Amino acid sequence: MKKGKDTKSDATLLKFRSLLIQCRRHGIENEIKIAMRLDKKYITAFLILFLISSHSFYGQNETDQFRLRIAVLTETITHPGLSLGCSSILKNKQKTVVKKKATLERNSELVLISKIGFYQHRANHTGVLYSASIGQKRYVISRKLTHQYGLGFGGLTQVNSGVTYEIKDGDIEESNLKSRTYFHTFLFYEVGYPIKQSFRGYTRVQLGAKFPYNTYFSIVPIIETGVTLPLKLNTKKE
Amino acid sequence: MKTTALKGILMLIIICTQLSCSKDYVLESNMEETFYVRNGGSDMPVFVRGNGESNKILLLLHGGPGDTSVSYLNSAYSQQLHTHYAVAYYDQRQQGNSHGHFDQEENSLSQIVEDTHDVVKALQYRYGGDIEIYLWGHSWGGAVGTAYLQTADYQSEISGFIEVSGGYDFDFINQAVISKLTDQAEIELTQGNHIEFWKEVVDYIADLDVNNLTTEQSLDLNRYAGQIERDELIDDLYVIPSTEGFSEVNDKVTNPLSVTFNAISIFTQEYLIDELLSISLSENLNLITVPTLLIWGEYDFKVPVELGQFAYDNIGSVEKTFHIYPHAGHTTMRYDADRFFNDVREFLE
Repeated sequence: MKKGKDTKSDATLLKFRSLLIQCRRHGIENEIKIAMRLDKKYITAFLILFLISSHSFYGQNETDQFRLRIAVLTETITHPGLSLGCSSILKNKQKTVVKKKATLERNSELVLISKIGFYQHRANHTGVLYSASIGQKRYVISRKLTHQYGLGFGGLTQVNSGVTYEIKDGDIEESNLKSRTYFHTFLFYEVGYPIKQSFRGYTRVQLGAKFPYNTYFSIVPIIETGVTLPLKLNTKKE
Repeated sequence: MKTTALKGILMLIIICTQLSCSKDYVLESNMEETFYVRNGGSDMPVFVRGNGESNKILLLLHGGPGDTSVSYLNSAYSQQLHTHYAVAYYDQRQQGNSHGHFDQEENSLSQIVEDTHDVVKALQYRYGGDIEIYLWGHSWGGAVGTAYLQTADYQSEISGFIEVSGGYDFDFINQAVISKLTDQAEIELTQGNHIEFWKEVVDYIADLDVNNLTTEQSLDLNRYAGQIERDELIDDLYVIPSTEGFSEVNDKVTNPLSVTFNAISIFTQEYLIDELLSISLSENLNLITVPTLLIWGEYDFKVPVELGQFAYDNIGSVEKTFHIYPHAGHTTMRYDADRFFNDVREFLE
């Protein structure tokens, strides 16, 4: 089923590529731009949906494997926002390490996180972030802190503040589309800590890039602080 | 019950949408507005500030290329202008807070002129066709303004031009910079001031083929010129008040990272820099007929005062004024904000 889905997606992608080639051959500039925009958004949406859907494969057996994440964030320190996401443990590995003074139970998890969020840059733009990331989470079971690091990708849509004007056929008008979307890739480091019962807190530092930004790229630093709580998706044990 | 609640929410959304759509934009006494102008692959922000009751808008064409209009926004001279006039701070494509995606080749002086024309159209559409728009170009922005006024009938949309240290002809700039640096070096070396720096300048110029400068050499001359102001290497040059420093970091409107990476892209890709170094707009200065105010600094080593004099002698405007600010450098208005405000006010009134 998964394979069939991919094949269908590949076929759609090929259609877009073929459209692009045709447009280039006929020198239809606008169509190229529209197709490229659709193409870019399509690929981003496809990858994110694919990763989110993988939660359903991995996150249904144990309740703590699937956690909801709610956080406040700041982009470039001064632009506040919110983020909502979910995480799944893809792989879990335990290791016992014997040291001189104690024996430590070390846990290592491969974690998938999908999230959506926004930030507000006053009088400039609103940024909508959607991404999927994969990270390695390490902790000693008897200790409180967890450390996680990894990388992710997704999209960043910049919605312009105020009206966006555009000249069409010689006349100026208010544009219906007042946003632009960029690819967004990032590295992150996250510290987790217990708050109460199954609630856990976390602080995440994320440094990423948005591109193609004008003719180059730009940096997107994000600091996120929030809580995670377990979601019980499927209580029926197999 | 649920249906009623849903209907209520739907009505509320419709009312809010209608209210947001029906907003009329007027020039008010205390303006703080942002809008964007889209042209091709670029979305360019326009930050409108100040008192619009005079019905006059100064459209700032910032310097660079690679600068942002927001670095002018909080300065003392701008704050004074805001008390009487509205100022539209517009970030040119690939600069400041502008964003989008396009090929390097699409960033040229002629493209920026087209963008500026779209901004003028947007201002007229937004605030009414009877508003008076004055171009205020500084340095590279002066070149953009000059090119704009020389293009088609664009100047018919403009009520006047304020050019501050406009770099409208780079060959002319290079020759004038070499001559000014050489003359000043002689004075400073005679007086025994900053001998190491001025000797370096003299030696550098001696090795140049002055009629055939490379891009690197032009930029080196520009760096020497900048160093004179930055390190206060001439006693007669005023020190810029500390409150007149770059302000974009303090202004929450701007995104310093976008500004920085846009500037890096301009300087690493060099396409627009090459465009800058090949600017030659001297020949058609006579095409400019709108009232023009020219302001230059006596100690401007980046775009020497000779360019101001040449512009004054050659533009076709009947109403034209030329002021040289003594003790001032390249960002002339930063050295004497009060005088700048008074000169602009006299020109506009």
